[in-house]
Amino acid sequence: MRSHALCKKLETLLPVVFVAAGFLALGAVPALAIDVCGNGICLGTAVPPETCVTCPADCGPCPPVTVVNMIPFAQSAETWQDSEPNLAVNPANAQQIAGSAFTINPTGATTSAPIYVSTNGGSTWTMNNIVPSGNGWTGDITLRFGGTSNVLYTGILLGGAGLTLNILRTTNFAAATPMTLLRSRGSVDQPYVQAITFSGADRVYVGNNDFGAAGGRTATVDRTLSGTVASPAFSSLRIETRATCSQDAPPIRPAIHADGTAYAIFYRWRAPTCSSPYTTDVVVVRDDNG
Amino acid sequence: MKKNGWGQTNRFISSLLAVPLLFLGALPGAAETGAGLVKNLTRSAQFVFRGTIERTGAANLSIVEPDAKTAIVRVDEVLKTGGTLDDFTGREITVFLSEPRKTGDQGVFFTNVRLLGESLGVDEVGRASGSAAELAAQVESARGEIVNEGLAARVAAADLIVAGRVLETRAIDAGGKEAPSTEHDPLWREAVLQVSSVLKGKAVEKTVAFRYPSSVDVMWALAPKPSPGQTGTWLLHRRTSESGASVYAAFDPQDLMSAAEAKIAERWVNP
Repeated sequence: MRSHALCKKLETLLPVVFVAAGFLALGAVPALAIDVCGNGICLGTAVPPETCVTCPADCGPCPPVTVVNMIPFAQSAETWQDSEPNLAVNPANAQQIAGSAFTINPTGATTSAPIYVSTNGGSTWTMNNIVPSGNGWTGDITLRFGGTSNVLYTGILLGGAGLTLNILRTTNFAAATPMTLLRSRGSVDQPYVQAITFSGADRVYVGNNDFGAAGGRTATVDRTLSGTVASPAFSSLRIETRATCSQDAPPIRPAIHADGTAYAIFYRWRAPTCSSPYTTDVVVVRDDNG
Repeated sequence: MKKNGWGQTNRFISSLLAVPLLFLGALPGAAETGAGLVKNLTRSAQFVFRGTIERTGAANLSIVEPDAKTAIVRVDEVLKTGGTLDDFTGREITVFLSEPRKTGDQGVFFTNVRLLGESLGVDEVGRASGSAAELAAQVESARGEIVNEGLAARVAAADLIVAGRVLETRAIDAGGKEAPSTEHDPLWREAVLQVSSVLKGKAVEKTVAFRYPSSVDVMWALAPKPSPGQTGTWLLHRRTSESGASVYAAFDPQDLMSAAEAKIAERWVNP
């Protein structure tokens, strides 16, 4: 395994065309490792080929890299902006992976939008139209599994409804049942979801920029400590405590430690320059009690 | 082949049947029959096709665990589809049956698309009785009616419908009010239209100005983007601007009519 760590793999990805954010690739093509040194082993440093002499003798051949097309083959001609991808691996079952992007429901249906699901560790992918929508796609969308619950949570901006935050869940991300709405409110941007299972309960955190927050302190985390119950109680936690330029910057990103400690990071836009380029603080906050 | 009704090419029992096979019993709207039922099913189904059951208790999507209600069905003729869905004519897909069927059964399938992977996975939403040819004709008729009903609803929802040519597009004054900073900002601009005809409402002047979202963010990517010289028929909606003024706006992807839609709407206005 040391060879894998040392090897700088040079992949030939020419047959692969990346779409939008470079996440959804057309063509499932095994990429080739290049033996730059010509000695049957791959390169051990970052800058070929001048540094071939530094290539460790025991690095061994580079393994091939497989690029998997997440877009269903039949839809590979689609040109929608599949932007801002997000990915979640089920901590309780690494074979289960869920992906999302701004993908449109290819059927033309306006009541649901798809997520991408894999139940074999990412080898094959299927679009599952289970995200409630008003126009067939979503605004923003991120997703996470609970730690041991197998429940998938998403935070979205409801398609066709402007800045309407919806927090959703499903107990079976591969099933046909539409995701269940847990919370909805307006004037919110960039929901970003994190989840863990702590003491047997799912804690769900959705960072968001809440334009309804008082005093321009818009950096917010919507949190529930009981994500799996029938009607989870959510709180909107204002994590900005200082003055801003009427709002914080859009991304509010939580991160949760397994011991329950919750963190979040965001940009505070503040005086004296309240227009682009803003005067900005990078702020990290922590809650030891989750 | 297989264009003239139920069971004509059924490999197992066609020789035994003097009449076409029937799918008996409708699911949703069971009290309804005939064209009314077909219209309701056509309205609620995204993907309608004439097909043949190739294998029951089977699926051709790796994510699907086959059971008694899954079947691999060959799509013989697509009767209704939408969006950017690929043409599945002649291909095998997985159908989640509303009721069990037999291998070799043929019929019209009213379905909604659940899964897209190695193949297509669709939920059967209901059944109607009749020969495939009869049902196909009813579906075709229903589709036309449904499209017209949708157009009528859009016309009814519009405050002003005008045809004309775009003279210019221009920036607008937000009235000193700043919207929140978000990538989803619609970036409103204004188009000025030289009016050639009015289908609904009143246009006092020879020109009409309306706002549109110039942003190509995912929220607005499909909204009409008028450009100078463009001709068309626009469905405009009264809105209140950031500064409190009453303005016209076009923001829905369907607020610019197709030429065929405009002709239909004109016939309604001037029969």
